[in-house]
Amino acid sequence: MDPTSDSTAAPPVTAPGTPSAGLATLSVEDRTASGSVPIEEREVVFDCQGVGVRYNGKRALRDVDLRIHANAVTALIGPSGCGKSTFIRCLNRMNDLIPGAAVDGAVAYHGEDLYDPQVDPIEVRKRIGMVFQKPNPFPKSIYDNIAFGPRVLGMKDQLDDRVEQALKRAALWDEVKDRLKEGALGLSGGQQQRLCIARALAVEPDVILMDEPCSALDPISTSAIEDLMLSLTDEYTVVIVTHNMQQAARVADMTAFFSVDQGETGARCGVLVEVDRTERIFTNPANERTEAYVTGRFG
Amino acid sequence: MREGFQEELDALSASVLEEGRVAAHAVSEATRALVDWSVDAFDATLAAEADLKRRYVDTEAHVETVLARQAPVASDLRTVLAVLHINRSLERAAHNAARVAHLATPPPRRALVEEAVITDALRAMGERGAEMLRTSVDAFDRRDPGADRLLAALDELVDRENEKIAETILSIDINDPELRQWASRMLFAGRWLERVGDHAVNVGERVTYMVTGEAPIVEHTG
Repeated sequence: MDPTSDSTAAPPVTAPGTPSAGLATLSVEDRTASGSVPIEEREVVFDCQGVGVRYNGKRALRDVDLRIHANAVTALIGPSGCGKSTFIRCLNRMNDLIPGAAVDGAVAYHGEDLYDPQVDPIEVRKRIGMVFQKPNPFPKSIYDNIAFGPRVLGMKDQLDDRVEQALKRAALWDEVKDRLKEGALGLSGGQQQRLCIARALAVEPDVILMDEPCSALDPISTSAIEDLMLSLTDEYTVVIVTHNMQQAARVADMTAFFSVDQGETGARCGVLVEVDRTERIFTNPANERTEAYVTGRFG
Repeated sequence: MREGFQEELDALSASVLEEGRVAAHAVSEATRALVDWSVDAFDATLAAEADLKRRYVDTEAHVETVLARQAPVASDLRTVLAVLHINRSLERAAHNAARVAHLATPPPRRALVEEAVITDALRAMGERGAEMLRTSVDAFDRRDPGADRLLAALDELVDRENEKIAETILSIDINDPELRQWASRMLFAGRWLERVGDHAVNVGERVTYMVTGEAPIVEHTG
């Protein structure tokens, strides 16, 4: 599978009924309990310490220390090549699928080492779903797109309800409820992207990662996805990579700015420059590099 | 590097500097009209106020355009917001100057010791108010985050002069209708000149916020 073209978590292949492989289970009640708590005081979903990535020995990202808190939207921004997409793939082990990719440092997910050999990467990608830049529904019906993951995972009870709930959660139900058996490829780009989000939601994830989910969409569809992101945070943790700084300003609770350092050898490597509340990043960032980037004077 | 945007910010900053010059001129002329009964100064005050009203409308429209088209953030956003607020403060300062000019009237013919005290205080307030406005826009021009403290100290002096006027007026024979009318006008003139100082302090505080992003804003209202 090409990890850059999929629009949801990698196809789950664990046997039906397989218990979580080394990862604690969170109930919906656990996820929604933190709504009114200040972001920094909410549960830490990801605690990244010294995270870096090399591709075929060449370092693309280094020394990222970043905490991502529950029930919030965290945006990753920065110029091209700064490693933000590389980093987001560390959060559900998508880099495992790229030949020559090596992740160092530590990524704790709810306090557990995400890269522990005992942890099943398929289970990881079920818990931590992903939506990519280009919506890419399966060439199946709308219904079967949503039902695919639950069927493979053995979550077959009340499948119709599960499909309906996922589509409602993705704000797509009203638009497709009368044509669930029609092909998903007949949907508009924005509808396809929401379908892909619904497909990720159908397997009951804890986290939704979005890698530039609106870059191929028109403003109306973008607005629908942004509204959806905000509504999802009552149950889910959302991490989004975006080139659109106004989008980060609109939807994110926290914003992390990545940039590129150039070493003495001329090699370029992505680094995390600053992370803070979004309003702070866009009104009074602490770091001059962040200021230069968000004001358009750099990058 | 968004050169067009930078040119827009520079133009907004230039507008503020020019408005500051006009507002300070309005206050100086209004003070001259008040204590020297100068018709020329009265006309100059109203002309300056009208000029500043036009500039105020133009600057606000320019800010609206910049916000809509450039979506400024961080220090650029703070600069645009500072311009928006300073624009308002300077327009209000000039409006208060016009109010002062309209209060100009000779004192009663009777020689009054109090008259000298009151007019001297009003002159001091007007001169200091104009100086404060010049200082505040100079701080904007130099992006000086510390001028708010100097302006607050100068404002204390303005307030004291205003209190002196009020105390002096309370001590005179208020049963004299002619004197009462003059004293009332001077009391209001002191009030409007005191507000000029407040507006200059507001400008200084906006400059501090613009530069640091941290300073609390305590608008001097009333």
